[in-house]
Amino acid sequence: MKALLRKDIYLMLTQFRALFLVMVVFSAIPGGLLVPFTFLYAMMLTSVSLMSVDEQTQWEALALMLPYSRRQLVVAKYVMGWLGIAVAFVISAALQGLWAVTGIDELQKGLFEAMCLYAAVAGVGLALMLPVNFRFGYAKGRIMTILFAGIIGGAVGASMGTGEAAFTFLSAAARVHPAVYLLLSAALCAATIPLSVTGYRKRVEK
Amino acid sequence: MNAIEVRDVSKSYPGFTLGSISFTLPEGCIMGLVGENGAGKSTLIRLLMGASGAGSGQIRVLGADVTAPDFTKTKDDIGVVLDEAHFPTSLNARQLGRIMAGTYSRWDQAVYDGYLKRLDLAEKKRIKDFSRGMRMKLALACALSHDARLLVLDEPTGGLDPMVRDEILDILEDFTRREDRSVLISSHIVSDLEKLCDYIAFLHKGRLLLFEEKDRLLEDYAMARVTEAELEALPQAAVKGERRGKYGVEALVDRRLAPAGVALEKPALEDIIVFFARGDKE
Repeated sequence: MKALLRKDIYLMLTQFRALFLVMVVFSAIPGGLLVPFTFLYAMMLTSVSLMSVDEQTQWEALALMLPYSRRQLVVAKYVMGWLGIAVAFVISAALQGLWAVTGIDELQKGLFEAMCLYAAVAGVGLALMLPVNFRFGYAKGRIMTILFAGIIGGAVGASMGTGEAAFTFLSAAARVHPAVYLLLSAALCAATIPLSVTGYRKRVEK
Repeated sequence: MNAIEVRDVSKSYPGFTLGSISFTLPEGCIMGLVGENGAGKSTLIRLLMGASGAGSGQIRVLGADVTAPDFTKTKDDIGVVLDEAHFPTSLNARQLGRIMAGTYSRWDQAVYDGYLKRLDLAEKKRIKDFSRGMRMKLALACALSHDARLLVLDEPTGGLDPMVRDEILDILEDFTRREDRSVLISSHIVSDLEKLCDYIAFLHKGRLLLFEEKDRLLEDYAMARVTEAELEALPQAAVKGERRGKYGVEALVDRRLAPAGVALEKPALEDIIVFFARGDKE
């Protein structure tokens, strides 16, 4: 599976460099207003968008003939999705921390907890989107992607007045240790892997 | 051991059925798979590689059942070249080599580098900037750099100029110098297969019309240029296909069934394929 991850990382570095910069800009906005979108954006970029590139280049047709199992092909996309979420976490934390250290902006109260929640929500997004994309392909699966992004984007937008109020709200609303919802999100992803493998098999073997 | 064994394999799609296909390719041999567009060549190759589930029948490749979960390990011994390279086009040959190094357990970087040099493929040039011929050569370099025992090639020479085709055929000839190596190559270009192959399989509209040793085909069949009356006089079983022209009839006949005295000419492999297809139509 390392080779599949390597391929996707190369693709990110060669094809999505400009889009990666957008993610950095999102996470750099002082006040952390766009940090939730950084997570969603990173997750989509590293999973669903990569699948679209695979579809365009018909990589799948070749990959199915190489010594990879269908499960490896599926799991690689989940891993890439979580890798994207982790990168969003690191970049957002680093930039928001940098603004606090340099005095550009105060560190938002509950930022860490909120970022864990965003990561968990992005993980749920992976769990919902990947099985649909594996079953129906990117062209049809993107309907689910747009739907999910719209719902989450709308919810985040509606719940946010100011940055600080949002973080306070989110950290208070969670009332559980951040590790719990991160673990739940990861467990949900793991639970949908067999669904993705089955859907993928049905699509490619039909 | 046989490189490929196919027993009564069928696969149906809406509007197309492949089957019932049976053949055996012995280890160390080269098989050419001929057929028109849509005949089922790519479908058969997908079935052979376990990329698609067969409706019925059994396929064993290098001794392994393609539907078994551990067939993934057997794929380590198989090099694949598809009709398009299907590589991520924003990558370059060097990056592709690193990906393949993690894909195949016996990947040999020195061999790969050697092929890049021999085939004049720039390491750092993006694949999207490669011509079709260069992409196919890159795919071949990947397929040949992990000590494969079986090469499966789906139209590797289609749409390429004669120079590149010749280069690719030379490489394939080199590959088969070792006796334990086998090749399955599909192509429209029968003359390419005639140069290279030990066995010829002819797929027509999803059915395997022919699977035979090439030399035997060329020995057993012949072209007869006859009049209508002479054609009528030939035993029906001897005539495999016919073409009527202004000056008479050209027929592919089975030498073993043709009566003595009929003037027979040595056919080209392409004649045999074309006349088999015409015979099937009639």
